[in-house]
Amino acid sequence: MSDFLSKLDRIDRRWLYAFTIILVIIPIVSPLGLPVKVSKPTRDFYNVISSLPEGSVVVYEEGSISGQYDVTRAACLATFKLIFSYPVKFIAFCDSADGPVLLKDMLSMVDPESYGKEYGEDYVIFGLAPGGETATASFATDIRKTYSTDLYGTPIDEIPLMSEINSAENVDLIIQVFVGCYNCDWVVRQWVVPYNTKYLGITSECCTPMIAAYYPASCKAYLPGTIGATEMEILARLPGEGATVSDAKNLGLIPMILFIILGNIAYFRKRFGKEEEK
Amino acid sequence: MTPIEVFMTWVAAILTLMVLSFLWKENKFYRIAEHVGVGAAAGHGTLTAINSIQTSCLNPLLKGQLLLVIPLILGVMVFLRLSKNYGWMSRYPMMFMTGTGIGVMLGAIMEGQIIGLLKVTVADIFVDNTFLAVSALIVLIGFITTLSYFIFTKEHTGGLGISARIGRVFIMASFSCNWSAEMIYYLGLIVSAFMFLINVWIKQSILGI
Repeated sequence: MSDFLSKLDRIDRRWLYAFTIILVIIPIVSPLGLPVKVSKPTRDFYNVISSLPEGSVVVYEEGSISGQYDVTRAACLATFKLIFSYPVKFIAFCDSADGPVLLKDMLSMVDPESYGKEYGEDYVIFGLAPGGETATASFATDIRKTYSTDLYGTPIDEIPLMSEINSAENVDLIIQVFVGCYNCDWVVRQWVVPYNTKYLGITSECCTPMIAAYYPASCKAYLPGTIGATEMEILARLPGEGATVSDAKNLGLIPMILFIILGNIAYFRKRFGKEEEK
Repeated sequence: MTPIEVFMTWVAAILTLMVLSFLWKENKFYRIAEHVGVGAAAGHGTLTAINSIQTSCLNPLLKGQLLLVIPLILGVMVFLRLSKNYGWMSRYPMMFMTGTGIGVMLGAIMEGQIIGLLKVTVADIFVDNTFLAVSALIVLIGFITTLSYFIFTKEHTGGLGISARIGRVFIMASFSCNWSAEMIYYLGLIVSAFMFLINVWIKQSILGI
């Protein structure tokens, strides 16, 4: 046993990578459909969107970046599918440079037209608003001072959807996608406190502890990366990529947890062994 | 898949494999892929910024919104930092950006991030749900003891010492929570890379499934 643990202490880290990769590949090749329990934040996320009255205005702030697109995409797609299945208005804007590209890519996958939505009437996309929190504040205060045209160059006053919408006062819900972990503070400070707007967050797993602190007081609900996406897909019966990712993650975590436990046993055994020798 | 999509998928797959080769050891292929990634991101960021300046400033300016010339000049002044003689002028736009940023942020910090959260925590202690009440109490204890850990004007002995020690446990619990979330996040990136390689590159592009 002691010999095994001392060997473990010197094990090449590439074995860990190899085990993880093998376990990750299995569910991608052959989906396992491991059971998933829908958490309360996801259930609340679904309930907030599904209880929106007809004609409600939903603002979507895209703050993801291409490097983290894989982590947030499944949750965003599930959210889009849910939103477009209800009679609500959808306005998207971007606070990250990659935002417009990612947004266009996701909307092309969802295809709002297949839900009977018409661009300009039911949904509209605005490009990048640089400035971080200042841009978020600017959009909440006066959309026309933030953007003069939409992403495709159409003047804002020529977009029918925007005719009676110009600030957070005309908005019923804001959904923010963020991967800079403290960017959820922006919406809390610029939308929730001054306008009391309902706020939903979509983020990566690593930023979840930051938004969880605001739940349920300032943030009504949130989706933590692909885990949230999987739960949402199950809850809303929307088939998507989240389930496969979650299966792969669950299996991929096994060697990591195993190596953490064994590594700690080896460490403590070595440490106390030395003390006993003394 | 169209031929151009197949070509782009191959490029992406090769770059992904080059990046993953780092798991074996540091190598030239990884470096090339890293530089390509950084270069592409910088190029895309620059183009998006130029486009943003054009749509939010130059176009409205040409249509008669003359006041927009002020932020435009301030924006140009940022680049004077590159000049030895006029570098000092870049401090003015920086001053505006910092001042605006802090001003925009400060207004709601107390209400949104301190008082609002405290109010909810305290209120939850008195709800009928025992689980919620106990959770809220733990959060409140964690909040107070963690704060006490950061009191450095008094030696951590006696009551403050005990409180600070409890606070340290809460801080460590918070770190472990963040670390595990980080680990799941990185695992998610690996999963996505392999999903692309298997589902898009091998299945769609090579096998045509």
